[in-house]
Amino acid sequence: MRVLKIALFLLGCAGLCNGQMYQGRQLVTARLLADADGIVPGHPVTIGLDLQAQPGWHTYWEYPGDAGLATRIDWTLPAGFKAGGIQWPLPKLDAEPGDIVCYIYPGEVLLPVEIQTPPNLQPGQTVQISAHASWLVCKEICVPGKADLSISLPVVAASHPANEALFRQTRAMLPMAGSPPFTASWSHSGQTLVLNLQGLDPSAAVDFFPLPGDVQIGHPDVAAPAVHIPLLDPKATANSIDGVVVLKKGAGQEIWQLSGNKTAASMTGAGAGGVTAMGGHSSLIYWLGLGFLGGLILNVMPCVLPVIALKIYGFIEQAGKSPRRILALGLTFVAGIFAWFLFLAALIVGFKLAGHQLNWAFQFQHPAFVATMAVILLLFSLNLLGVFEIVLPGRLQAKVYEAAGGEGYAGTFWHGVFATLLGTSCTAPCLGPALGFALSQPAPTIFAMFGAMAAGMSTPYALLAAKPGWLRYLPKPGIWMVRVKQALGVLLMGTVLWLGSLMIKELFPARTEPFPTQLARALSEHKIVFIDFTADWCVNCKVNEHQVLDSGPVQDAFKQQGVILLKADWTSGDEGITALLRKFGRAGVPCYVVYSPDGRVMVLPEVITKDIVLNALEQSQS
Amino acid sequence: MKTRLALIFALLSAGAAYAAPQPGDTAPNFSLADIQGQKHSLADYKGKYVVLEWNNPECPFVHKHYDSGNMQKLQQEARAKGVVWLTINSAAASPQGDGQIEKFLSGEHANPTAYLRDTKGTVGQLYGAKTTPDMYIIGPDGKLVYDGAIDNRATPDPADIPGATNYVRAALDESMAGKPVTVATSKPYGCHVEY
Repeated sequence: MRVLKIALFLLGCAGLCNGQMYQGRQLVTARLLADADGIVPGHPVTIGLDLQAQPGWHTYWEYPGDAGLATRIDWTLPAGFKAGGIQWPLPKLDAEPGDIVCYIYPGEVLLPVEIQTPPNLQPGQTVQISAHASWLVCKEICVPGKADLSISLPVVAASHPANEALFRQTRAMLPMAGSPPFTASWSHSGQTLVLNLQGLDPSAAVDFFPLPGDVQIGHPDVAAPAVHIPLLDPKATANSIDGVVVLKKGAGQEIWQLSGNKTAASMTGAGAGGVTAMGGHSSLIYWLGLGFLGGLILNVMPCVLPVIALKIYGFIEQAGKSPRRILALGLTFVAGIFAWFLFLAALIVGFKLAGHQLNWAFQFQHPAFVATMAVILLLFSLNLLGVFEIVLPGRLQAKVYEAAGGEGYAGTFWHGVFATLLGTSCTAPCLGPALGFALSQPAPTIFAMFGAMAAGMSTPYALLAAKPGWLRYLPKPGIWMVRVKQALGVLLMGTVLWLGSLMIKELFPARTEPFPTQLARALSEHKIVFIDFTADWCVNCKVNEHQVLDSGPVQDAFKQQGVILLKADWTSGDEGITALLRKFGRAGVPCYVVYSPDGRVMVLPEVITKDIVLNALEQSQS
Repeated sequence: MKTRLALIFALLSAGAAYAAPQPGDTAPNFSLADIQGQKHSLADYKGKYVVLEWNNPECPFVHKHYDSGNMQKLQQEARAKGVVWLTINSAAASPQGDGQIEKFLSGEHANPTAYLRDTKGTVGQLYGAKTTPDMYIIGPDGKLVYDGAIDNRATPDPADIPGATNYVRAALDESMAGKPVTVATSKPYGCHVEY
């Protein structure tokens, strides 16, 4: 009889429906909630699917575990709107008899989704956002549920928060922005994947929630700092999986998402998501090189260069021509420079940690962060171009110098510190950007980078203190220094423009529906579907497209067989496309996939020929 | 009596140690009574292909494949080729009387070789069955050929069946033709087994 009732319920829900009836009572109440009372044109709004299940019943996380099914939301949005993925709050682990482990939401859960809105909306308009939600709700038995939901929001000039408590509570269970306080590395041990978490606070209790995608895994075994994840398919080739790391300290907890370095991939447009370790490494060297160069350039700033010679002559005077003492004084001065830069680094790390608490997103995907950076850089470039100057008040300068005290090693150390501090009046333009970029980096990188800057700035002092004779090679101060400054200003202006373009892309995304939706619709037509996974920066993709896909014979075959051609544009690392690529066992583009009308899938090689494509089409037809 | 206790302990520890068999491993023997009370032992069917199908008449994922006729069609095809089809219910005794199972079997026109009851869940745990449905294929040599989902569309929606790749059919066809099995293991989907 239950079966009949389930069937009846399914029929009953064919139309508009926001609840799930079961055995005569409401099993799940579903609704859409917004985090604001209106939509501000061009600003994202977060809409959450709120599922309230009867006590004892639960719905499932993104990775349901051994059984169950993740909740799905398919959006119907007005033109220009774009929905992101579900932001899954941390689930509860549910262990059932028979070694069955599931990841569940008992009772109520809110699944937030960020929705980008177009800038051309007019206040006074009303916007309707609709979604088809489907879920599985289980107790001892399971019942699938679905609902067609919608919410209407007015377009307003300024909005107020709504449903604050529920959203706050949910956001506290989302992975944090920024970089985690540990580094993750992966290794294989037989048929087990081993995740190693380095740099963990030993007092924190660690938990791991896997997001294995299509990789079949057993139950993760957490023995901090390692997590062992059995691979169930002996032929599995996965080197890592995504997941969520939870650090519990006392009553508090931190939730961190582990995934292929999507940030780096979309920033540089290079390489695939999987190569976290390598990408991180090379970008660190890049940052350090940049830091060193930046530090070195500080020396040719108009207010610093003349000081170098003076300082070195000062050492010579103090040391009475004893080369060893000159060197010792020089190195002490250098120590002062390092102290100042490391102090700055510590300040930034502290600021960043404070920011984590407040959940600021120091990420380039975040329009607000990019906008702030652009404004700071614009100010600094104007400063370098001589539009205005940053000067410490003269009296303060004198006071600081007095306070630094006399001569000898201690005095020299403080002179190192204060010379750099005073130099700030004209080094700020270079420090500012470094600071901004540093904010998006993990703490060790920040320290390393500022260390590199200190090294760069110190190099001339160290060299000259070791070989005072080289003083004569020092370039003479002159108008050229101002030119260098202006050139840097122009360079910075370029960066401002780049950030601006980044921001425009984020704020005004191309008005296309998510690729998985396009694919689902194409597949429902039961024709051959050919997917070209490509990206603007992928040269091989362009070659394949030009020589094979756009060629006469292939185009004719596409036309004759009524093939639906889909282009999956991975230029900005779209997550839906990344997931699909992974499903096909690929880490990046180019990738070509052919679906036959009966749903068979063929993944073609990276380098394709006309014959390969024509053959694939023929095989898909039969 | 002693050997039976030892066997139970062996089974329990096997389950706990995550030692469920994988494709290529020898499928562990078991013996269960069907709903008519007749005993069936895996060893009885040595030399034949055997399909194990974990079942729960109340699970919507099971209904996806029965209400659409998908499972029955696969049963008929397989049995026509001499395959033994054992449907196993590992749910603890309380929620379902066998009367309900019989109603399910006749109502759905299901046609397995036998419908076995595993109320203690020992066979389910021995094989690491987690969901309903969860499918296993054992070859004539007694080795596991396939374990996992019935197909590649993990939804309770019968509309997804036409476009799905049926892993069980593919593995049976390939194995019977002497070819290596392309997909020998997959993540099963469905309701969890109510041990």
